[in-house]
Amino acid sequence: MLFNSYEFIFVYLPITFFIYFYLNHKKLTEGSKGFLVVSSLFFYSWWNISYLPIILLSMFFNYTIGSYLSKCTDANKYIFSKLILIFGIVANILLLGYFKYTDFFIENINLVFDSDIGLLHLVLPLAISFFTFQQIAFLVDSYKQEIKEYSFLNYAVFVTFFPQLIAGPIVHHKEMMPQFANIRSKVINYKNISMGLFIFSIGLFKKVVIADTFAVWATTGFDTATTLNLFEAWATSLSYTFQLYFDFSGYTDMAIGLALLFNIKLPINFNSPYKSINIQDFWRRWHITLSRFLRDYIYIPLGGNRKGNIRTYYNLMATFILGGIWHGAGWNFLFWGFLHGLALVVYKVWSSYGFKLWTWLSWLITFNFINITWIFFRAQNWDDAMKVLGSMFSLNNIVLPKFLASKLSFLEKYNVEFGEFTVNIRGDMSIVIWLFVGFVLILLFKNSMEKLKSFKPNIINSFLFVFTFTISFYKLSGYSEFLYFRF
Amino acid sequence: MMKHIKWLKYSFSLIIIIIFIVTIFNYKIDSLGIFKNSNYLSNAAKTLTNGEIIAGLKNYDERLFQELIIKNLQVKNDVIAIGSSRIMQLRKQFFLDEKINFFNHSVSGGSLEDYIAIVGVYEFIHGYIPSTIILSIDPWVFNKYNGQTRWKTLMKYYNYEIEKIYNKEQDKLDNIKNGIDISKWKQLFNYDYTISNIKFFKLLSENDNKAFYVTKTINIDDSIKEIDGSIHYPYSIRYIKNDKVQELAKTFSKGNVYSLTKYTTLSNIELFEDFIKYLKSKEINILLVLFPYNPVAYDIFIKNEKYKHVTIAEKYLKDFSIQNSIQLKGSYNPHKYGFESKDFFDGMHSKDGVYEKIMNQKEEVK
Repeated sequence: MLFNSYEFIFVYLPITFFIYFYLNHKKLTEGSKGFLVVSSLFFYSWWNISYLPIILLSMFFNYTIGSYLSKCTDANKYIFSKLILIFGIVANILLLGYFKYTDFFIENINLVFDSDIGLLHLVLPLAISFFTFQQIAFLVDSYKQEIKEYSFLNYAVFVTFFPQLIAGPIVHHKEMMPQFANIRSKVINYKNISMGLFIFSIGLFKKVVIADTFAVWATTGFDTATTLNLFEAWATSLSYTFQLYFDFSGYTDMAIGLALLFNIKLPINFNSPYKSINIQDFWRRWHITLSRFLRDYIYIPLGGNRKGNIRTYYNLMATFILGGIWHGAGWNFLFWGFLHGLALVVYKVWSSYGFKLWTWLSWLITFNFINITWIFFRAQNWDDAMKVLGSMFSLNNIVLPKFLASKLSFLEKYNVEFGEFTVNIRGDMSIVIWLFVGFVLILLFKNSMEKLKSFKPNIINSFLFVFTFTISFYKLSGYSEFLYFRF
Repeated sequence: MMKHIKWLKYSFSLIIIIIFIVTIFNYKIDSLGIFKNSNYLSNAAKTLTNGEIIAGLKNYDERLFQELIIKNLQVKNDVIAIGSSRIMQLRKQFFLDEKINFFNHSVSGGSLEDYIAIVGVYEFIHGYIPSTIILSIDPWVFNKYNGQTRWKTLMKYYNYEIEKIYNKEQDKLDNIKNGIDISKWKQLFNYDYTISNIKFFKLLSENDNKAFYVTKTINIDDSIKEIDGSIHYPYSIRYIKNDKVQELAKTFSKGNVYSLTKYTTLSNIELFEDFIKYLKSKEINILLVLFPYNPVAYDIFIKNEKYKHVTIAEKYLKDFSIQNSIQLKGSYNPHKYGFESKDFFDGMHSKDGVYEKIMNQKEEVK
């Protein structure tokens, strides 16, 4: 079930909300948790019920291992518990690897050895990358004795809580469970409802109005256009840059808003990432909970920055390449991760010499780097990436709008044409306006989390809520999945 | 806490009021005639089937209009043509005797589902299928990524006809006849439909509340629908200059050729063949027609490997027609008939001369 669907907003959500609080009102705390787990699993199974056994098995397995690790306080059993932890992590990675990377692995074996092993064409179970990472974190935290939680029901709530189940934010057990245990979270809180609905409607608007508008141009430019002129290539890449941000941050806003309805505060996941003035800054603002996971469970265990510069650079590269491959089984994702790792290394070296740039120049370089690297992230193959990238930096394919022909006709001697300047991406003049709006929104406006922080129940916020919700309501009639559902 | 309760009450009341007003607006204006509330489309269909030429009709659901036309037919049609906008200029006078009842049911972006649904409308409403059906087959008919979903307006008739083709039980057919179309009611809350209604409301306000008018002559600068269902474009297109046509044709083939993207295999073959088999079992005469593209556009896109299935589709149709003794006329390739760019309005829509030449073709062109 999608957050941006009538059945979710008008059927599933109200029913779940009212039954959950009714059970709490009747002091049936365990019953309310049980109900939340069942309804979250129903939400999950809506797409495909065949995924259900996978998440259930994964939950039982990790709960068993985690419970053992958290009870294992005896120093004599240290080595054994470490082995159990390794076993748990490897099992999780194997599960993820089987579904996500088997075909990629076979394809490369076939390529290298010129063999003809058949692909398995496995369908990636929904949310597997997210719930696997979340549970690996649980195992590590259990091993470190940071978790004192033995109830399977509580664990099931932690894993399946529907607002964050499908695409995060990736949460820690220790930041979620005390909230569910808090007595205050068991009664309806109107302040949280206002704030939750406010942020939910902003997220919905970001997704169905802004991201889905950019999606048309991005999809046409990347997937179907055979050639692109200079403007179309830039419009394609920028459209995807905006689409991805508004889609994923819109989803996160909706998740945060939904959780608030249940008096649960999810961690912030985006903090105006396109305002970043360097690549390190970007990774502190983009998909923050993934960055936190990669830092805590990969970068720091590898040694972080404690073992000298060279080792730090190596750790950064390894972390980002793994981060890239987490997003999808493909060389493009690996290359995207490699580029970001490399950029961080370059930035570290640069900073270590104390060099500084003007803020606007730093922003320009950072934004363009991110925009260009998203091309590798988005393109389905190398040729598509080169089609977009090549046209972005070629001066032989400039087409300008017809209405400029009379004023700029002298450019014709430099091979500049005047005509249908967005025809290959099914665009018109509105694309220019939307790109402008995109820049204004990412650079000049407060982000949704800042708006939530300063939320007051006043007329302006009411107008914003009514406007975003009503427009989104009318835009809901099409089916549009979130981009991060496929990762 | 009270402040928040008040805020929620105020905001929700406003949302409910806005949605209520917009819903009433959409229901009342009903620019596409979905709720049969705005009678203009039904009136247009009645006017047309009463033998009058209509003009000025814009921005309407063409599938729904065909349904209303078939519903209001005054005569039993002998010959019908089904296809896309590429055969909208196909007129009775080009190839048929005056006494024969003919109607052109072409719709923009016509796909296989449209062919089936329109035949379904005849069977569903009148219980017969016209004795001759001209199917103008566009190459995208066999492309599963053709992006054509507009046929869903006629989903009920499509489902009905599918059940007939595959010989399903009578109770299932009755269920389809009596079913409620939820997608129709969803239009009340649809953004695009709201925008379309706003535009339509504006149009009515500017034109004395008339969405169309009757004309005695085709020599007027407007969109015209003749009594045989064929159309005439407004003057800007009807008398378009050749250099503009060439420019349009180039643009057409440089971008994504209409409905031919991701055309990597021939799809829908089984359904197409079963449909033809069903029509033959009912002793319906079938004529398959392939209308050519503008040579300027064709020469550019046909060289592209991505569009090789245009040629493959044509070869398949030729082989299929021979194997099944079905008459086939025309070709996607304009050079086979010596057509030039001036014979077209743009990259894929041809002028009257093209239809006359192809429909009156006696020998198969190699």
